[in-house]
Amino acid sequence: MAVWLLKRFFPDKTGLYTQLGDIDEAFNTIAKRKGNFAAQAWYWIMAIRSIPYSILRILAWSSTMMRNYLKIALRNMRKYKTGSFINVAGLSLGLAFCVLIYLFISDELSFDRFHEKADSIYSIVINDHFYEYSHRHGPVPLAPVLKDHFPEIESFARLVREINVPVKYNDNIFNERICMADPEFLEIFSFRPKKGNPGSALHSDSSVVLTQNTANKYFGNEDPIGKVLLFTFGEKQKPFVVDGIMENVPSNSSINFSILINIDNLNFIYSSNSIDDWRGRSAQSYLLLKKQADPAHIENRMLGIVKPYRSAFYETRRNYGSLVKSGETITYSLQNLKDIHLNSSNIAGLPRSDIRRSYILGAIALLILLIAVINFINMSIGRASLRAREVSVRKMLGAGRKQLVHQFWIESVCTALISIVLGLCIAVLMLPIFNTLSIKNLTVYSLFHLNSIVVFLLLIVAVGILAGSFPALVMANFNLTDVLRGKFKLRRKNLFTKILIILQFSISIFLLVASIIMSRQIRFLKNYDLGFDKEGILIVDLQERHNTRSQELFKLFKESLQSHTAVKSVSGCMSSPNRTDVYGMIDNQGKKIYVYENRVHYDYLKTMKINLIEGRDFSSAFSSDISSVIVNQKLVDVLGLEQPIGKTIKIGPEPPLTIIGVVKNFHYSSLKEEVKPAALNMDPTLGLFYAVVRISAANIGETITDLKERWEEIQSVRPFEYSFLDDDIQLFYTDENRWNAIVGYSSFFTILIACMGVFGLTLITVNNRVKEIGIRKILGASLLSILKLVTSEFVILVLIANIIVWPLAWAVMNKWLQNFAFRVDFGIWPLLIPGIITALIALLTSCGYSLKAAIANPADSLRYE
Amino acid sequence: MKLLSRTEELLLNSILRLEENAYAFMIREKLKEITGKTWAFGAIFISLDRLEKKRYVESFLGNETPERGGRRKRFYKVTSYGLKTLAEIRKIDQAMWKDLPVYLLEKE
Repeated sequence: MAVWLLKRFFPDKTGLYTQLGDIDEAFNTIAKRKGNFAAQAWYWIMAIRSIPYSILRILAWSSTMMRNYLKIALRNMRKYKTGSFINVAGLSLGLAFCVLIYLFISDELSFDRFHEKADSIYSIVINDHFYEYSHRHGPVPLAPVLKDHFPEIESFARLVREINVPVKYNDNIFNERICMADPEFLEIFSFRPKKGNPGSALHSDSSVVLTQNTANKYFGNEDPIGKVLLFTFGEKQKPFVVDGIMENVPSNSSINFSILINIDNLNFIYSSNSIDDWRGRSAQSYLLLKKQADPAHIENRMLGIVKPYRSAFYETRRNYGSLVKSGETITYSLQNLKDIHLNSSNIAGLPRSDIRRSYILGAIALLILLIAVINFINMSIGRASLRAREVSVRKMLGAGRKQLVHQFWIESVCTALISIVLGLCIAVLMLPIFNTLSIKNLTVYSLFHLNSIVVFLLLIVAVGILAGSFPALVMANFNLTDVLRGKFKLRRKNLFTKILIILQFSISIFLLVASIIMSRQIRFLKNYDLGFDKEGILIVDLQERHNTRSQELFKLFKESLQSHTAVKSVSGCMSSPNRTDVYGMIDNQGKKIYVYENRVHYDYLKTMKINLIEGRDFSSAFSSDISSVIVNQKLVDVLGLEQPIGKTIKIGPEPPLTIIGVVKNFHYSSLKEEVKPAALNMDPTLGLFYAVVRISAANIGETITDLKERWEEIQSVRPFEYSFLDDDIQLFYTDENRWNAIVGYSSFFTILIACMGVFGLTLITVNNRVKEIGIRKILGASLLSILKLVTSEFVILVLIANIIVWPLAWAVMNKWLQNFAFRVDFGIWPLLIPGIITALIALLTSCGYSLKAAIANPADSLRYE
Repeated sequence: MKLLSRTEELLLNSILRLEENAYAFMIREKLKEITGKTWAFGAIFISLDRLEKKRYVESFLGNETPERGGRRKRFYKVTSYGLKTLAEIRKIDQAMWKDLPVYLLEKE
């Protein structure tokens, strides 16, 4: 080893290593005198001592060369402005994408890592084997029971959410989503306190902890500590004193809260002992395990511990029917906090993401970068003839292959360096668009994080070396004498360049095809006949979940709207697309059929414009309608009923209902799913959650203000909260819309960069063939034939790329369409159009410059020899 | 005439003394004998190269010997130019020290 080091650092030109011989002799003398070990130690010390100086020497020499390389690189950049511009522009766009997507991915990966104890925090996952899904909302008493039985559990925190709680301070009322938590919540998780004493505040059941943003919302610039907020829970009200302010929850946290109160308030809001209720599916439970604890050990024994408690509770409430049935199939598992964000594809309950998203985005960014790098390579190879002389002179003066390669690396790293500076600027400018597309809250600051800087530097070096290697190898192989004798001729664009161009266009065409098919599918979904008229419908959230009170509130609201001219019809319902879904189960001779259940009010069919096929709508003329049901065609088909009207069906444990009407199928869920069997019933003793208002299309803004006024007249605690039904339905496809935009943007940029490459190459080809073109003109070639000469090559390459991409794009997009139950039949056009577009663009870009050459007077181009 | 550095002077001196046996290892031993210090090989190699470049010494290869791991020795010999320079140095040295009263050196 040491011998190798010395050899490496003391190159002996004679190759005889006489110096090493001397050292060996000294080694042997020392060995004889002081023993082998001392000799070896000496040898090593010598070897190691030699390192710093050697490195210094290498640096000193190479920096001299480096200066020269840099100078040449900059001169070249200045000399070939267009080419350098194309390189830098392409690379900086590609790098900008990479930067943004790096930010995205690092944000994804940073989720929940900021908690100091993240490694030992586990979330309890509830696996319901009856309804076959997993979620995080377990019974409230679960965590305390586990803590009593497992000494490995250091502490636990439960989080119960209560939505639609009107909170009032002076004239400010907002509808809030509050969290009830154990006092340990703030100790287990590392959310940062800001003001007051949030830690101790949670111990009292009349204190509230707010985040900074929430505090600002209510109190503006006033000091929030000690202020009193009035909470309304149903018909109860309770004042809370603000005792602590937390920093806003970081955007990379899975757990989110804005208002925290003590969990004992559950007993105040609901019945007195709801905190011991095993039925509820409301508490997210988190366990903090001791350092050496084995989660698998707890996981395996959890069910056994919990079962007796659970059964004892159910024993007292046998009448809960299906809830007990499902409750008894439940098993529990643990999931580490850090896995929640990316590893919960089948666990409901917290916002989650998919690691595939990061992969796809990363792949897109790298593809764009690849296209830019290909431009760089092609341009360098194309320009090789111009630089052949320089390279040859260098070679003649003794530059080795290695040194030439180094030179080109340095040139490309230089370009990459300039590009990343520009790329960062572009990234900063595009950050707002990117944030909306990726629903992230990325800031410019994360760009200057140490990690990011290291990644960017690595990126520069990688891009530089990748882009510099091919041209370097081409040039290093020049035949010296040929070039200097002026015999050198660049072979026409070689196969390698052609393959690279095909690759570039394949990528661009693929993305273009993908974005066209995506937007077609989205338009198809938008225009699909859902079985009801989604335009002009306003969904007003009644924010009252209590059965009779909500019915009363609805009636008041409906009456107040009766006189309004713009309101065409009003009804109410319990579930509405993308808001709440309730499913019941019909037991059809042992086969479970899940039925979408909706509790509605009179005029629902009329308001929604759902068409009756047979039978009648609910009507106040029939008092028996409380036990009637209207079903959709699908349910009739599934049950195989021939004469549905008058038949009875039994949904879940409820009493049987008589079918009075059959309606056309309607799609209340996303069109990714098949239409579901549905049943509408009407029970005035049970709750309505939303008012459905059909308004006329004119003066919508004014109508909404009127509705708001009327809403405020009939009650004073709840703010007016509404949405348009078609917006709610569009929300099903947010993800698709977002992906469509992302793919659209990237296809635009890939085509842009690829075309810049084509332009650059035309420039070079034309310049190389100026004389040829001149001679052709003299011999009578027409303008068109000259254009054809230069451009046909590119067009052919683009067409080849098309043919390669079609089957691939077709297969991939069909796979994507499999996500949807209702698919657009995209036919051949989405494949043809991008082909034609790209071919045309390539043609036009290359025509632009060749036209100039073709028009030029041949006398000019031929004169100078 | 050029003045030699002290190191170069010492090296030339020891090469002369070693006569036929002047190669790096022995030079190092000789230097140790004269100066009482262990010299780093690096210092010796570099100075030898420099002396050769300035033509004070010339070198030739010897035979392989087993105790050197099969590597050959590079012997050094002072050239006539080197000898001339050394002689001049010696004259200057003697002149320099001749009249210097000893008490001046012992003052401190």
